[in-house]
Amino acid sequence: MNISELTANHAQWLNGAEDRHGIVVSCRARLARNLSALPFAPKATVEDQEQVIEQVLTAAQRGHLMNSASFFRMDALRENERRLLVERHLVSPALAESKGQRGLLFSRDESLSIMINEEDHLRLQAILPGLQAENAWAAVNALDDELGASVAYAHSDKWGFLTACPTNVGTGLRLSILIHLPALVLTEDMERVTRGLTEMAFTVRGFYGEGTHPVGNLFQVSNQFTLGVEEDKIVEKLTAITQQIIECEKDAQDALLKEARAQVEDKVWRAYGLLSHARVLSSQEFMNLLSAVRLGYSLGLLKQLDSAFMNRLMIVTQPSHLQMENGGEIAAEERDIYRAERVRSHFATLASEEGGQS
Amino acid sequence: MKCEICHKNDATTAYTHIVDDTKKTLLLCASCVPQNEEKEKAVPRPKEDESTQSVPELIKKVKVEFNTAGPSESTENTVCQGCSMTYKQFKKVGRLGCHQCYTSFAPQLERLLKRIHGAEAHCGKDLVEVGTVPSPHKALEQLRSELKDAVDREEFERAAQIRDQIRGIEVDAEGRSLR
Repeated sequence: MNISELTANHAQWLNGAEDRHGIVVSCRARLARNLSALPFAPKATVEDQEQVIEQVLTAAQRGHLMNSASFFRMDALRENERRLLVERHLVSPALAESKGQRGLLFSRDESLSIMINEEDHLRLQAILPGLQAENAWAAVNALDDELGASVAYAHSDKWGFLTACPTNVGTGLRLSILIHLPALVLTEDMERVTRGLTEMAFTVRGFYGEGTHPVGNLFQVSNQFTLGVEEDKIVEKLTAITQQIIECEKDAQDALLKEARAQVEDKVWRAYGLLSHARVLSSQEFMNLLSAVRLGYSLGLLKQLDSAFMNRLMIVTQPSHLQMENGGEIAAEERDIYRAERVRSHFATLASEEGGQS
Repeated sequence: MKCEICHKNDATTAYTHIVDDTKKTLLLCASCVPQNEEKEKAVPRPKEDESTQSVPELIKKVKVEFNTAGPSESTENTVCQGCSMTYKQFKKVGRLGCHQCYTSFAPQLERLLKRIHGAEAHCGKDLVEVGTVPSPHKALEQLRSELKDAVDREEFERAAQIRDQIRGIEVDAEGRSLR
């Protein structure tokens, strides 16, 4: 696949399946792996990095899951193109920005991917829509089995899979969900929830993971520990905890609607109106309005749209997607105009569908 | 009184834990109380937000806790046989240089890993032996679920590709079992 084709590609994780009242966006399982024969990232030479890429590509070719995957070399891409991959959650900001020989291998529906030469030689990822922790783990586990049969992983009997950073050693598994919690933020309960999650060994972060701030009431919840906890246990715990968070959010949403129905409806419909008609939209404003519309969908106030519609819009209105669609660098102010156009035309399809139905 | 975590069930247990040397008590329901096996673990789980601290910071803390009065010369200068990284360098960058570092710095890492993860040993997935032919079972299962998704979403071009992939694996597997 060519990188310019990516903007129009339908990533499976955005399709809105298993979204639990529009609250859970997606679920991701990531495994950190290293090859035992080569030095880890801090000591790797460019030749070592090339070796890693070559061995991984060969292993992927031999397997069944990634033999028709697309491969990008990071150094062959422009900055904007690398950022586009970050926006699609295919690579981490660290891989996009770091130096050296780095690569990305990903399946056509973007559900399976391998970052090569990030902090570890390999970061295997499975990302699926909604609350599907078990399926995401199964998918990345199958990919891991395939690669592990071809390349020798760094591993110790005592500490399991060895990683560059000691915080990932053991299973190397980081399992996370992307979840929308507007009512818990509004009722100022988010801090308590975060505290509770930390107590139970889960971490809460912003939209793009480590070191990022929450945008549009979207949070990433992931397991903290990788040593001494079995993968299945992590899957089980995260699923159970997510169900609890969903219930808390649902309760808070219902309470809001009960106590201030007119104000909540007004907030939702104003956001809908602004997104349908605004001429200039900053990224921040857009994400906040989309959050209000998503809340409207969760509450059953808006029936003309669904999670897939909102998830896709959320990605194609990111800065690098807008730039790619408009053929190169655009200043931020101009981007806000393009964003508003894009959003308007997306919402216009709803209005015409609605018109067709009535 | 509702549970202070899920706010849904009635709180049945007063759960006391220690954060930054002060006792805190939460009223929790049965499903939110951390499970027994965790409470019984000899090693306490790390305190709040430790996973987000940088590794060099954690190393410093471990040193203080274990009462080592300043780094000993010999520990600092331990050199990894595999990549010649010194323990001092690791302390600075927080990343290890190769898989042998785990052997070379084993005593120091043992304490650090206990501190980070609150556990001493791996449990979970084993290493797949190189050269084993992966059973097509998992791959097939994965692809079949992708196929179902594609058909559900009427993405027929994608469905056709996945179907071909599945056929490829099945033909492959048949060939193997005939041999």
